[in-house]
Amino acid sequence: MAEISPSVAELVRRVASQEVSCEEKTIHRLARIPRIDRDIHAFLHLATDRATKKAREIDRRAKKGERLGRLAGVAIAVKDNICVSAMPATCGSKILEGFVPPYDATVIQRIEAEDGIVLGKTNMDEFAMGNTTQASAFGPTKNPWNLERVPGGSSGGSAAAVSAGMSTLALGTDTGGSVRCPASFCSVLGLKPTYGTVSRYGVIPYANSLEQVGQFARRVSDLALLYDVVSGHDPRDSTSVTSPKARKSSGGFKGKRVGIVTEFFGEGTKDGVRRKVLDASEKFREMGAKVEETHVESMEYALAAYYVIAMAEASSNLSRYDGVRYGASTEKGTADWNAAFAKTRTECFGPEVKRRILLGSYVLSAGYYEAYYLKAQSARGLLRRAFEKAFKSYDILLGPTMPVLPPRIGEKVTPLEDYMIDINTVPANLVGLPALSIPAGFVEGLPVGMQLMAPHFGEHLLFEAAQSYEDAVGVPGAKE
Amino acid sequence: MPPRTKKAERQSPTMSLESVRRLAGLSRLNLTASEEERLLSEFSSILEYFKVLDRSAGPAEDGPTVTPANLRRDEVGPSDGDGVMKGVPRRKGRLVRAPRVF
Repeated sequence: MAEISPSVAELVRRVASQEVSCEEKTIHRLARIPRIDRDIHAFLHLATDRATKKAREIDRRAKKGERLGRLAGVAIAVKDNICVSAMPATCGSKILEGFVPPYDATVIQRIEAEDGIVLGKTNMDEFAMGNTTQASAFGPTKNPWNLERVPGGSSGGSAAAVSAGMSTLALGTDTGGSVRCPASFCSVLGLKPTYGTVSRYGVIPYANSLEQVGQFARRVSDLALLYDVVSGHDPRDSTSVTSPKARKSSGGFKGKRVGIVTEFFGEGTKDGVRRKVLDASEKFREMGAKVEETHVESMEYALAAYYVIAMAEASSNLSRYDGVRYGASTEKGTADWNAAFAKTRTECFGPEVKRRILLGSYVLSAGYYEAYYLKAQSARGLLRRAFEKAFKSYDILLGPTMPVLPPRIGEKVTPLEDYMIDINTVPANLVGLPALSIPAGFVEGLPVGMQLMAPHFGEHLLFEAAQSYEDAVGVPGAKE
Repeated sequence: MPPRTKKAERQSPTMSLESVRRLAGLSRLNLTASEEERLLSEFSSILEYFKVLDRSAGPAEDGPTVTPANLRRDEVGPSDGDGVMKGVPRRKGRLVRAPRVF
């Protein structure tokens, strides 16, 4: 493990005061990455020229004494379903191979306005459908803590980049746990914000009513800063909300109420994970928080409701990939419209994407819409009311992020067995709640994450809890 | 939205090979015979799991809603036509080459 790197605030101070050359630092980082990434495969694209040019410009402005942004010179890795102009955006799929967006997502504009440096694009499960990053069309990413294990997914590349010290910060997307799962498996912090607080403009969609751009960091103050930079109302995203006035943390966690949710420790939970998370939760009791077991109703519907809704939305969102307006096209010659679409889609979509498109079409089709989709939306309402009830008694709800340790790469499981490990993460997406995975330690040498959930717009509660925990146990180092 | 059935389904229906083929057609995906069989088996177990939703009852919640306040004004603004055209796989000038309709 490498020594703990300084906070983002300290890194920015050093660049602004010219103690450190941003350009030299960036060149050095970009030179190191290929060596480390040869084994891990976190990055699909490294934007060497653009990053170096940006770093040089920051040094020039620092020399002139100009005011620099809050992320000046900080290296940020971006998941490959978030549009960065002039950089490829494949979504981990052959169907978008060669696609280069002509515009920046809002989150990228905001990062660059604060002088953050986008290092490159990271690997992911195809169209964000997966929890291991093995479904990428461009090969899997490995877990930096054990190269025979998955880093989690679908934002596995971003989590691995931060975990291995290749990047200070990273962006991912979380539709059913795709930021929190890899954060847990890679021993980094991973936040899924309240639905609507981070713009989805420029994020290539999988399931619009469920997903949010999430943030990765190793330090709580860094995570909170990145969230602050990218969040906020965006008129270009019609689901973007204006948060209530920003709440500052009150400092210290004494007197807060923490509920350990029994349903998050279901029968699929590995014993070592259960013990590790319960041990970690004791830290909150030691800080003076009131910690006790509790129940949240209607959780038995969450996983089914998530998959019905996500697959339905995916089948609609992925109908745009026809090989005509962007991306790959394998149709040559004069095949008719439908045959041409089918050829490109068949040859360029992977098996998991096809599975979800087909089932998504099924649950939306005439005669079945009420049997599945309406019932899933009804379950969603039940779950929302169940969490509202729970948050009357607790400030934070807690449980393991993932019920298992990171699986082996290539391990054979059925689709349903794979879907089942999302069981603790999907409720937050269904209800739009903020949720944060924090490193809770290691079992059999593999990382375990603890998930904290808060009410809508309760990110300040999550940061407060996580900061108190970090003050007690220290900042986890990078695996280098 | 597809037309509502008169009576809500009490039990989730099971899938058939015929359904898999119909869905593949709707989704513009070509499946081999062995893929059809494999998917049918996978879908059957997934749909069996989804049956847990039969027990849920209550008013449907459609997730986030788009209210008139959220809609932007219908105003033409600048757009990067050249940038968009660069991504088109087959084109002729500013025309997008598309497969035959007939």
